Amino acid sequence: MYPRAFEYFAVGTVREASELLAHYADEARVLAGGQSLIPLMKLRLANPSHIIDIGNILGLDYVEEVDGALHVGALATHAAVLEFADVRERWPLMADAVSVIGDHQVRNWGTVGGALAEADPAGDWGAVILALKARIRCASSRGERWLAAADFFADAYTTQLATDELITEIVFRAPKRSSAGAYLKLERRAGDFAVVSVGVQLSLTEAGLCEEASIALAAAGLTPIYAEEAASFLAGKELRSDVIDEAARRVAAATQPLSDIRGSEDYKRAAAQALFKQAVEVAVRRSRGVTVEAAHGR
Amino acid sequence: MSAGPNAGKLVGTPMRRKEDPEILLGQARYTQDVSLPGMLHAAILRSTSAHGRIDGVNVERALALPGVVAAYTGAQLKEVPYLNPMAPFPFQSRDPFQKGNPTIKFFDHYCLATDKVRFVGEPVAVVVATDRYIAEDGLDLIETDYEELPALVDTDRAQAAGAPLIYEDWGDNVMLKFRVSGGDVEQAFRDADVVIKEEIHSGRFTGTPIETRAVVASFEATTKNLTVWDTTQIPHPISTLIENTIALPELKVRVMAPRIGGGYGQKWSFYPEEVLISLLAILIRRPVKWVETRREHMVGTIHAREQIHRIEAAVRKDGTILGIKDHIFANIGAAYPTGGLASIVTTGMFVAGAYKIQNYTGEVTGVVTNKTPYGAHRGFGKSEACFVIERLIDIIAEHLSLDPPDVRLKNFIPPDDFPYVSVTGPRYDSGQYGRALTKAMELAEYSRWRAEQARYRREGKFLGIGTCLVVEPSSSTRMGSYNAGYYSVRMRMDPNGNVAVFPSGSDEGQGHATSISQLVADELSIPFDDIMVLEGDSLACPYGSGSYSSRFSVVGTTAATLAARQLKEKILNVASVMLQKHANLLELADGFVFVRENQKERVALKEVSRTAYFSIFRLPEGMEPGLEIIYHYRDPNIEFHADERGRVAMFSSFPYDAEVAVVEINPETGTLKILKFVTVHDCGNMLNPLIVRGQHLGALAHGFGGALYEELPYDENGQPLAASFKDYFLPTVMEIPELTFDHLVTPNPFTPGGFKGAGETGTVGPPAVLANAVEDALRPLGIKIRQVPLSPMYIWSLIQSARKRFSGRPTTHLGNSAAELLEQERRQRHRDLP
Amino acid sequence: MAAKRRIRVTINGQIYEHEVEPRLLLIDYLRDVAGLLGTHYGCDTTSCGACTIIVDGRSAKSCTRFAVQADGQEILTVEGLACDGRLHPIQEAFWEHHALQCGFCTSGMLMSAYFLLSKNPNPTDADIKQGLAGNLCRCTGYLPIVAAVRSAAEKLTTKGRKP
Repeated sequence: MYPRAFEYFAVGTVREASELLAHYADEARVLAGGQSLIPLMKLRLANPSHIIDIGNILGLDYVEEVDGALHVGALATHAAVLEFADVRERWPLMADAVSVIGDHQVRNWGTVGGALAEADPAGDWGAVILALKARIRCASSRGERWLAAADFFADAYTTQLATDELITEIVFRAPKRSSAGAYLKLERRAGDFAVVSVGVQLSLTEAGLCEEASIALAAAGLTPIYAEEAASFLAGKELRSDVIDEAARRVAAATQPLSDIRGSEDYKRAAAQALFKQAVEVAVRRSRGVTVEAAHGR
Repeated sequence: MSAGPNAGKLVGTPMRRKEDPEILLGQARYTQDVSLPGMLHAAILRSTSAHGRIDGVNVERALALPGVVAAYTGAQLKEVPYLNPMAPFPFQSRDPFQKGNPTIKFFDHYCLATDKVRFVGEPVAVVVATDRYIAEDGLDLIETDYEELPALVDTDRAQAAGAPLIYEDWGDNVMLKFRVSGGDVEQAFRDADVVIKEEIHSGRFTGTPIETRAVVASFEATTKNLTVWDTTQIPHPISTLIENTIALPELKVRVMAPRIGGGYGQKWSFYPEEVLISLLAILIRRPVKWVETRREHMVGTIHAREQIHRIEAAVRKDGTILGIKDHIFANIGAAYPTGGLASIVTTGMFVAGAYKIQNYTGEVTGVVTNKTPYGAHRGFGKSEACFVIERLIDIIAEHLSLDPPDVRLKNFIPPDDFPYVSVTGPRYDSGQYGRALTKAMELAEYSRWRAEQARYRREGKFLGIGTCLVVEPSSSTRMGSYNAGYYSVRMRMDPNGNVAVFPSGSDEGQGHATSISQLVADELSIPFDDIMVLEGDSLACPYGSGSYSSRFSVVGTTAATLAARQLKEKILNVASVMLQKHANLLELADGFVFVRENQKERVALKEVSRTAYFSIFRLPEGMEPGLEIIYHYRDPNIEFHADERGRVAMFSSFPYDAEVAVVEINPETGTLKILKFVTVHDCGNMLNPLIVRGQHLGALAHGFGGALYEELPYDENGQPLAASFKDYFLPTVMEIPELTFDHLVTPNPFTPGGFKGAGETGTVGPPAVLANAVEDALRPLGIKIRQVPLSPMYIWSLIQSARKRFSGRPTTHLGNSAAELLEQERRQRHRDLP
Repeated sequence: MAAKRRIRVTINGQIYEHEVEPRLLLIDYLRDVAGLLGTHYGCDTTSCGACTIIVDGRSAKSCTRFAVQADGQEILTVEGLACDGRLHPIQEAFWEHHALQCGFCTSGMLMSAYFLLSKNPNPTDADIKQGLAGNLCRCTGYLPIVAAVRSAAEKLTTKGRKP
């Protein structure tokens, strides 16, 4: 319950943070909201000897719409994203997911950048950026680059960020007019890690044809998973019963869940299928303009 | 004076509590808040091995850390000449019932492990430092060397021939054997139309109060007075137990239990840390504080409930249960003095539940394994017994194609049979079981749900209805133990007419101060706010057994009532001298003592008390000065001595609760939704209905936890898999369903107030009623529920296995709503086409 | 040992200045340095919410924040709710509805309720439950706490005041 001792730096710029990271490398960890890092330090599962607190860097906590796209600063809190006026209407998949991250106390201080950098296999933001095909801006004292969501995660708790790199922004493209999404999380109890969670974003024609689909899962493998085969299978098809069932099977096949106290591999695959079908239903209704409360898988 | 017999009375009213403002203002003080000058902080190193020989524990590097004042291993502490092994609890002797039944093996555990470690979490070493952060740093520097031994987690394997021995001297892994019988069970089985055999498992879980344990000890070397602040439900027994374990000549121990943040039985035990921290204060000569982390709590504070019942019932075709044989195997974990043995013996006594089953044998085997020790948890063995009998009723009903409530109604102890002596000895005080169940079913609209169920089944969906009636005996006494069978109270009216009450328990949230104040205010006709209650101080309060088994409502309130009446007698005696009138001509009300026939002849209560304290020359020879008494109330409805068949009346009051639950199951995820939950609760008269309702609701929440969410699994190496609140799923507010409450009032005939215990009953029903409901829902698939918790994974696995047997059925019964929606759209478009 | 840092924190309207080790958790700063014992430890995995306080107007689990991060921030703890010894309407409502038994989780519940009502003065029951979902209780079964928050919302609305 009590962390080990560390040297503490409170920085004011990304450059400062990056230089310190370059200098201390593996001995240093970045502290943003602390909602992922501090619990690990208290259990002494993470024992960085140097902490770089970026919480005071100004100008990175925005949530803005620019030409229809959503720009989220890395230090924006989960709560700030939820409070952004258009989120529920235009990016319902994101709203669903963020509303089930932890609890209000955690959402008030945990940051989007912090959550993504943590790369927890059960992390909801990971599935969100995959499903919405976001782009991540990464900065260091050496310059800036963009990573596609699909290229962001390397392994459990590991991203493609370089040692001296920080996330500064995540950009979500403007959703198509005919598209809607949903994210459902199956939990043993409220506020828990996911047993498994599924996000589905669909573009539907008026005739009920699925133009495009995007499907991602969390707590279904070592990293968040993009269900490529299921998504491409759905593209161009009418969403009939047998089509959705086949897509669900492919979703399950894309997962590599671990057996643990929340369920066996088989159970999690079955639950992923059930959640996928529920999520498709919600997405379809939303694409027809119906307001649907979602988020907790049943 | 007053309009009617109860008008103006506080007993029976739902008053808000006098304890609350202090808590709400953040001013209440709990053990973790205690701070003393010069105080040091302890951190405990715990075993990471489930079973191993300790080859070495080295604290040298920890001692070298700046800020560390001391560090000890078990081997070092064993050298302290006055340190004994942990004194036994709850039994005070090795043959408590003095009839060789139960037979119990003991082991001399010290407060830190010495030769072996026997469960993950067992205390092994301790570091004491100037702050807790440094103490934890010190733990990181301790080197331990264990020779790993094979771990046992399963009672069958632990009893198998050739199993490794956890306590080598024992020759086997059986700690306790107990047998109780009544009637003629063999004849019953000969008379049976049907014999039903089942194996039913009750899962391991525990109460996890939000406050973890804590101990602060301070030693005064000249007087050898040791003060221990402790999160304990039993201050006096702990003071005695510490004195018996730390046998320093002239050591006198005072235990203070400040406000306690929840107990539920987990703080009714004797823990190594209570000895360890006390000993450290003596050795180091500075106050020492230890606050349990939650991780420590999940492995170092007792678990409960893990039992296997191999049970047979002799039954007639009409559903009458003629007799039961039950073989009970309890998974005790390591053999520490926790009170778990008493719990499992209790299971053996109450398998008959609410039913008139007059032929019974119960054999209880307590098996040690390499798990956290088993102790008391709300329900205390009766919860396990009730789970089994309530499941068995439903199983019998299914077998005979009867409706489960009908089997219950047929077998209930009839109202006219009370007080009813059960087949194992306890005298059930009163009850209206049939009426409670019928009422619950009406409130639940049982018939309507059965009709609804038929509709669900036609659509291939799963809806189930469960019923149960659980009796939860309260106020326990046990020969040869610290549950000594009485409740003591000291009561004083001071010169200003204020009353101070010193009960012999401790308060974990039950509202004792408010309850006692209501009683005393009524008895002495003084204002509620003029009464102060001080509890939990083993020096200031008279010696007693503490708070457990919901006994305060039964014996605590009675002790307070009778003490108040004795005090009133003293008041009237002193007043009689002042008024020169016989005491039985006098009344006490509204701050005055007056002559009944002539109310003008009166004296102020304050004058009476002043006289008793300061004008004793006015009192006759033989009349004691002062207005202070100590009263010991003996529990009337108990029997100390067991007979040769093991029968004994250990509990004196029998609250109960009828429940009906309706659940809907999603077969794809195994999740369930509670559509209706009704509870009809009877705890006799209610001293404070607001407190009773709160207790019952909180207990139900515990029950839901154990029924659906909470479990403490171990892997085959004895590693606990749920060692934090991340993996132990306590229900949040989101998990508590809507509840329908009602109650009956069947008073306790043995006490003046007529109250029964109220705080445990709610824990017992939910696992049974929900298991019954789930099995009912899945009846078309032929699924049997044999354990709790009813996790979605467990339900889903049962459905999967059943489906393998019923191949050809559709894989989903919920349809495919998205597809249906779009199909509807298509049809609409087709209709709309010109 | 790591170099100490000077921090300046406002707690319940009063300014506190201290030198602290970076690893000192905010909850320990509140309890052991500022002497405010009303905030409690209930777990070690940021799960129970017993340590909930308000920081710069937002609810926070004080066990999952370092004191150094609170430098320059405004904190409200349970001790800051009552005014001149008079109970805050939320505290009154808890008292009326028997929304506490052992009281150990209560300060956290009060602060979460405070946060909820400061953001949403007219919450539905579903909103109230969401607002309390980050706080564990073992004694009450939660429903009286929900009733208390509902009642507090009405009280505050009637009085026309913010929490």
